Amino acid sequence: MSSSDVDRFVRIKALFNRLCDLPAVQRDAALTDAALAADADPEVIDAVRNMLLQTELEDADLAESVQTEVNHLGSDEPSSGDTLGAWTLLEEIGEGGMGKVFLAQRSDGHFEQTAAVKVLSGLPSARALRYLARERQILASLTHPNISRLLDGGSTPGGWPYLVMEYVDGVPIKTWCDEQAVSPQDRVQLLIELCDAVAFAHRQLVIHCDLKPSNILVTRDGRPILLDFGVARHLLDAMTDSDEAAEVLPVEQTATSKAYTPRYASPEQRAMQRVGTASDIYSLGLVLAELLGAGRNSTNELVLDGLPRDLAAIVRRATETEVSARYAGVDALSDDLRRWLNHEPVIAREGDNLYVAGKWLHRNWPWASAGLAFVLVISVFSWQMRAERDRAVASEVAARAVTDFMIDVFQGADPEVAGKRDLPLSEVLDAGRERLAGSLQNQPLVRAEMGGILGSVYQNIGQRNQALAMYEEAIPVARASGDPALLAQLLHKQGYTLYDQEDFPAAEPIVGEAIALRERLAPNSLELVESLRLMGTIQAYLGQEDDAHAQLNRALDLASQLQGPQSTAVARVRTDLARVHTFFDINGQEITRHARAALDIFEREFGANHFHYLNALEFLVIGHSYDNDSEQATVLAHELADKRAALYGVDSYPTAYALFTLAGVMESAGQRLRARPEIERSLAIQTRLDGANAVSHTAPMYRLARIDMSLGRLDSALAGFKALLAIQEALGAEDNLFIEEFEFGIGRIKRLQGDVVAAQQYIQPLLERRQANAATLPYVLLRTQLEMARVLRSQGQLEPAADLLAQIDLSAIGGNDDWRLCDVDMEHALLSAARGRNAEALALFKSAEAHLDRGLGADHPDSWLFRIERAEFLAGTGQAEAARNLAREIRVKAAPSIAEDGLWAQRLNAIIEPADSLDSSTNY
Amino acid sequence: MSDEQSLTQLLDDWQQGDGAAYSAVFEQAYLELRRIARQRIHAMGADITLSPTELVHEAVLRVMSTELNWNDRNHFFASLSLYMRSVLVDRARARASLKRGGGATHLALSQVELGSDANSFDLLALDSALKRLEHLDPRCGSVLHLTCFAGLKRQQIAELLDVSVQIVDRELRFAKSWLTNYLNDHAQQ
Repeated sequence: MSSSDVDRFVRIKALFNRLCDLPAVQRDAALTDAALAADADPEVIDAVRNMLLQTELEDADLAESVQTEVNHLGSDEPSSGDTLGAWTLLEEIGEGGMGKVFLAQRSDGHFEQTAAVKVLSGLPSARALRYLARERQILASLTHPNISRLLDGGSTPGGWPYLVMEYVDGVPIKTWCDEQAVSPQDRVQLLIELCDAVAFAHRQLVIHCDLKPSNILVTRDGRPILLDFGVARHLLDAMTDSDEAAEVLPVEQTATSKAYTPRYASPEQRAMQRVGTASDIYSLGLVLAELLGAGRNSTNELVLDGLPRDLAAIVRRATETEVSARYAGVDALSDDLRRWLNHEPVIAREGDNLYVAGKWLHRNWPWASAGLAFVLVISVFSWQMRAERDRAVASEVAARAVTDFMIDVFQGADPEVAGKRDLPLSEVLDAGRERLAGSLQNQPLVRAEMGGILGSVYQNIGQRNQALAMYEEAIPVARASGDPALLAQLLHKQGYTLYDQEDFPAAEPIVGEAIALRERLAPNSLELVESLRLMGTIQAYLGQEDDAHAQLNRALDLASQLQGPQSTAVARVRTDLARVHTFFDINGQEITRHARAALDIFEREFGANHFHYLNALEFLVIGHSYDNDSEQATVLAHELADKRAALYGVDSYPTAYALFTLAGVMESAGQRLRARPEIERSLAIQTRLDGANAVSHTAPMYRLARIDMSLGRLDSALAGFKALLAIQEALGAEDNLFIEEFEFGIGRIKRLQGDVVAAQQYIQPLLERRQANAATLPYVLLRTQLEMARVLRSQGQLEPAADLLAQIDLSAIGGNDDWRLCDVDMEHALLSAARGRNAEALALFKSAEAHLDRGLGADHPDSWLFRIERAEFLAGTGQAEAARNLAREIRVKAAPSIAEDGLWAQRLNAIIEPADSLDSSTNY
Repeated sequence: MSDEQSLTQLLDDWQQGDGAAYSAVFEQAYLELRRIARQRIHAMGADITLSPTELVHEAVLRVMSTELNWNDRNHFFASLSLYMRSVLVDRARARASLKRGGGATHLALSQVELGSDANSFDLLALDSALKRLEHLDPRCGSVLHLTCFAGLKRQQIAELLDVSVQIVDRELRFAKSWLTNYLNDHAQQ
């Protein structure tokens, strides 16, 4: 949506309201008149014509669709005898956590067929509906001889959704085995067949989550069939990286947990942790035990004494409490069962639990995904990064879960630690690390893995140096031991932490190696997508535009191929792309395109209040702002600020950043008087959060100082820049981009205040440094040269000023940057004026103003602010009346950026009422 | 954003005073809503058309034991209507996604139902049109929303938005025409 949409809407509304009360004849005439008007917009006319032709809606029409939906709330659930589409329900044959299953017959006369129809019972919530939709989607992807097929699905006119599945005429597997007196070998054979079906589902990335004897029927010909994927989950839902999972999983899992059967559920499922394929392996182990006649003791533990030792070992291996101690996959379980049938030694009786303890942590580790760092790039909105990292800190809760496990692992052996209560997280970690150093000497890989985990925890609580120390220790071990997957993971983490520390040059080659490893090991994995995202973002910060785009576009293609073009994985990459475009682009087209696409996906997946949605919204704001669509950008920025405040509370970083963005949008729209209170609010929030003058306040303080400077409030701006320099000093920072920018600001203010000596002391060394530095961006150099020329001119050194202007290489900034071209023409004009070449000066003023009108638009307050120079020129060349008129016009047109107590107001007033101000000589 | 107050803003303000109790009341009102709907249909057969207005009001009356002054009541109806809208849209969307299925080309959908679910798409279309209108013109959008989902009378809407009844009428007249036009345009696509 652009501002032209809003414009058009406003025009439609105005015209409609003007015409709607007129008699029909007059309407047509008025409409024809409107269509003939010079500025007529055919779309506006068409829309209004259509609107007037329609018969007016009754309120009842309006409420109809709402009512229909409300009626669905109350309509009766289907029961025996009802017809659902082509199916007539015969009798209820089962009832589960969320729904009922009916035996049904095809009733459209085409052919005889029976089926099982599943309907939701009770008043289905949106969540239950989503579950059924997911089951349908899952079943549609599973065509296997040992899985009951999906035949049909839909919903009744009353809105009751249902699924039609192949009806399996069979008996539950336990009953079958007992009635047919099936031998242990044949029971194992049945389970192998079942394992193949489950393994097939796992390859389709589906976890069943509710495997139990009553969900497995055996047909007359002895074929086991797996039923009821009602609580099945898509593996990717369960395994996606931490931040999404943290948001989405608790809700979903609550729903799942109600639905599964506790007796057969894995420990992680009962603990409502993330489930994976290992959860199904656990349940298969229990089914196997039950088929083999194992009982349970009074504490409900399996009693495997009566089983053959190898089979008991297989059951034990499959039902280990810790996920990574179980078989690595269902195929491994069925292979072991086949070995038993073939009298080969089974894998289950080997094993090393210490190794798997590490594996457990590894698998359950909530991934700290890329994009969590904060890097402040002036005049680029990169605040979002910080917001994401704050979330990562919030995921300290997740880290704590791991820490809890670590306490089990480490604390028991250390009586001193064990006796204490309320240990700070870092202390526990340090204890764990010490213990890690002293133990597991003969298990280097486990140590490396543990090191990686501890490193991640340190990273997540912000102790990056500790994290790096852990990685540096672990990486050589992984390298020497030839475990490339572990090595890639450790490198990625190390690269991530370096990136988070803003050490981009160090991070780049490390992430590069992680990518190379992952390309070889897992070319089609989300891990590779993550590494590519990290790399692209790092390269963007290194200023390597082409490389950054190449990496992120690869990530985009891969994510799209893995999860579909409308997946959240794609949306996340698009958010990265939008960010990178904010670094390098002048216009907002690409930013808007990526942000819009990401926004739509996030809105569909998470709703319009989710933090991912809001992050994408932030870039949409920026995109519109780059395109000078300030109206739209402001509307969206308000939405952003409001929703952030609602989501995180007013006193939160994300709200502060949203206000920062809002102020930025207003600032670039020239609405500085309105921007100022917003940026002050942002700064006030951050001051409440961090205390005053924190280094992270650099960006809002800089924006405030710049706004003050542009409002003409020089004293306030000067104080701001000095405070910014003080922060850098306190950091012990030496020359850097920030310091240069702040000194530049101070130099400029000094000049505007008339202190040209001080101005030169700031600007000249800065110019020399920037000229000597090959990495200086062309427009930064240009700005500095211009400022120096202004200083020289203000000192009356017209020849040196002219020489400096002559050095400016306009081709370096491209020929169509109207803003810079205006700056250059303006300085030429002022120099000509100073030399008394009035006609030349006037032409140059006009040329500068033409650039402004083209670049900013003739209504932009800044376009008028710049005209102060010409007004003063007119006043100084005896054209008092013209000068006064222009000054008055500027007063009005640039009002949103003129502070009454500032320099601009003072200079304009001096032109309008020269008597009040004797000294009208200024120093622009 | 213009200086006129949008509905959500008003509600936010009102909400400030209440905190957690507020959402609890909502949940309760929604449960009542579903229960009443079910009861009605049982009592009167499936043909009855339940008016959302009636439902909302009845649900609100049941959960609000304390006396509220009029403006508070209007606010509450308005709030509940936002909530109801999101619930209804959620459900309609979930059903729509069920309808679309998982891209399972080998499945033959029963043709019978293809048309029958049209209303849930209508609701989604209404919601997206409303969102668009709320974006383009918050006040006009609020008036339309309150008419569709809260069943507030013009006088009540006027009180809530702090404008005259004439303005509400005018906004509503425009909103309805705009809506019809918008839905037509988008139905063709």
